[in-house]
Amino acid sequence: MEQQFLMKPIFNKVNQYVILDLSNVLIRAESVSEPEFVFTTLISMLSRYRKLYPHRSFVFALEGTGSKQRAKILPEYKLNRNNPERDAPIVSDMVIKLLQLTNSTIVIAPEGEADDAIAAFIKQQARGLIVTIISEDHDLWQLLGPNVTILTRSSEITSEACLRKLGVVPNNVTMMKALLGDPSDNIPRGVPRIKKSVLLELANLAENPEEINNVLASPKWTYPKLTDRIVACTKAIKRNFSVVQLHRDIKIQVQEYSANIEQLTEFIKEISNKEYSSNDIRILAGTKNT
Amino acid sequence: MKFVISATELKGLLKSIQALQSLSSASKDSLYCRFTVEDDNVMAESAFMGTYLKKKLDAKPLRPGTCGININTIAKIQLKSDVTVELNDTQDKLLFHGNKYNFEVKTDQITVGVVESTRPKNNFTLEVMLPTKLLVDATNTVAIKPSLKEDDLRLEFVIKQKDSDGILSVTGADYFTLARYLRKSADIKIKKPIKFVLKSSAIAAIMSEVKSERIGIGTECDQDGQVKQVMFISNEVTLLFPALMVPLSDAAALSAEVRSTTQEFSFTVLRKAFQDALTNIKDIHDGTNTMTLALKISCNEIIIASKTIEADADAEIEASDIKIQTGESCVVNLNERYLTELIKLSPSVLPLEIAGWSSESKLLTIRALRLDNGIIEYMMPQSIVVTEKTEQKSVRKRKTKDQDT
Repeated sequence: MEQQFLMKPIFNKVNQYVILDLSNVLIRAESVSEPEFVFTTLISMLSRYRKLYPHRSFVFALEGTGSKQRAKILPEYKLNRNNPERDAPIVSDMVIKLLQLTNSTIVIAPEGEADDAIAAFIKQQARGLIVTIISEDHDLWQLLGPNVTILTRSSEITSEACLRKLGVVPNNVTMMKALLGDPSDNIPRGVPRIKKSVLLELANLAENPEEINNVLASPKWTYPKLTDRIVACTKAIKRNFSVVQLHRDIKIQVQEYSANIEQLTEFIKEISNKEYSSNDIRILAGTKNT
Repeated sequence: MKFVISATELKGLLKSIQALQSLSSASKDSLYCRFTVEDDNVMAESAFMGTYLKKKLDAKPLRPGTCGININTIAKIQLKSDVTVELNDTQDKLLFHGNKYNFEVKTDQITVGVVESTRPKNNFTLEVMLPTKLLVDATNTVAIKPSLKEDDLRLEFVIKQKDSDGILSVTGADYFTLARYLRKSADIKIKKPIKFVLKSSAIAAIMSEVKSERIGIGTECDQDGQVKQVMFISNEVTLLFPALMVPLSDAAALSAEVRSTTQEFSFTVLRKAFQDALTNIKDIHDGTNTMTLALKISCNEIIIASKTIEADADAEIEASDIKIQTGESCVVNLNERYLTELIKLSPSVLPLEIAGWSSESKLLTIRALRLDNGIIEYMMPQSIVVTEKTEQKSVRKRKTKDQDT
């Protein structure tokens, strides 16, 4: 028999979150492993994140029908993806069952994408709290703030890093994408044939399309050809903006689950055909906290 | 841009900027700073994770100008005597000339914009004035660091008026432990009571470099009246912190609740006696895992013991006023990392009152008075023993090894 010593926390409620875009995590798992080992890779990835943030609540965001909603505004939205449904890989029931056996929260915005669910969760349930988002998606950079960071494969992105890497502060990322477009989501450039540096400057001054006219009225922007071209593209800018902007007030469904170590052990053994130690299982379940 | 600064002042600035970086586990290789030289003063500014620091440097301005740099390189160099800092003609390098050394650092103009975007936009009204030393002391006293990551620590400041005195209560809490410092002083001047939660103890590291005796605190609230930002202002330093919009567990209520339950045991001990006993028994540990210690309390002695696979060790702690509720001896298990940290933060001269509480959470409390009349209270949960089946896999492996040999 083995003896373990556990400390019961003084605080029952954890006010720090790690939010994962589940589809994005699955893409990562698929990109580094053979198809038959995706589930095993996913388990090791989740365990690694649990070890990295041992005292935080884990929230997993799922895709809703947001892509279709956005495609109504911009028909070519995400048409460059391999998936004919434009969406990220469909999260299998197996993965959902795995999460349901661990200490996890699953959040979904039925009428939005996973990014919308994350944005809405931060605004509605984690306002002013410490949040780390795990995702490679640049759309989420608009959520960066004093208490919100994004963990990518290579580094942890802060609001200062956003300004360094993209050239705009997080609040203006949406405007930057509306002006410059986003090839990864097949969003065309809002204003063609104008230098990137000029558009970045405009993105830094205007937080939304309504502010563009005020900015262009200032003496610095009096070059007529330039201002005329931007004004002519207002419709495209507004369209891009509404596609890129995350819906923070969208309705979300939040479901919390508690760890069941016995069932989780059985389930993993059955699915992955691999034996995990009780310590590994506890880490994956989010119950190892000392 | 050109100015002369002492190596000590430059090191102080580096320390402050490094403290800002502790706000996140993001890359520690980037310590960005913006220097601005005006006709009569030299300023350094830095911004990270919504926190903004402006420091008036004790330096001699020679030529006005501004530039941003990553001062990580300078942090690695042993600076001595006075340093002349000068921006070259092409403005792409900042040159540092010392008595026996010269080095140059590439400028980073993006820093200028980064700092500008974080600069405080509103004028804060100072709501509290208090001695700088008191703030630094209080923050350091509750800055428990047993957790693996600094970002687990949260600090709650409550400053209010009682009769003619001001009361400063600072509570530090990570997931498992809670430290509370309470101080009453006529030196704390309050216009309006304030309460806020910060996510780091970086403030103590920054303020310990401040030379002015008093410091002001102002807050900015959102529409719901929750504190959004906190500003600390002294003669040399302006520090803007984003606040966490979450109330910390009420330390005073928790303390009262624990005290209302049955006390299992209590004893009084000096910090040195406890630390000596801990040092003696820790030697057998290889440092790979967290060690659990057993505190054995009987009517006439307190023994602390540790156990590993290879060895056992125990030591007696010189204690007085031993009281046990049941009259029989009792044993509590404690996490060594947390216990060592709390004992280390406790005052060294006056005795510590250590008590075990049989509340649901099985808390151990350490309570002490400080020489400045401040009260300190630490709380940590006792470790619960969980017995599990030894894994069959490891047993099988061992058997195979034995057969091989």
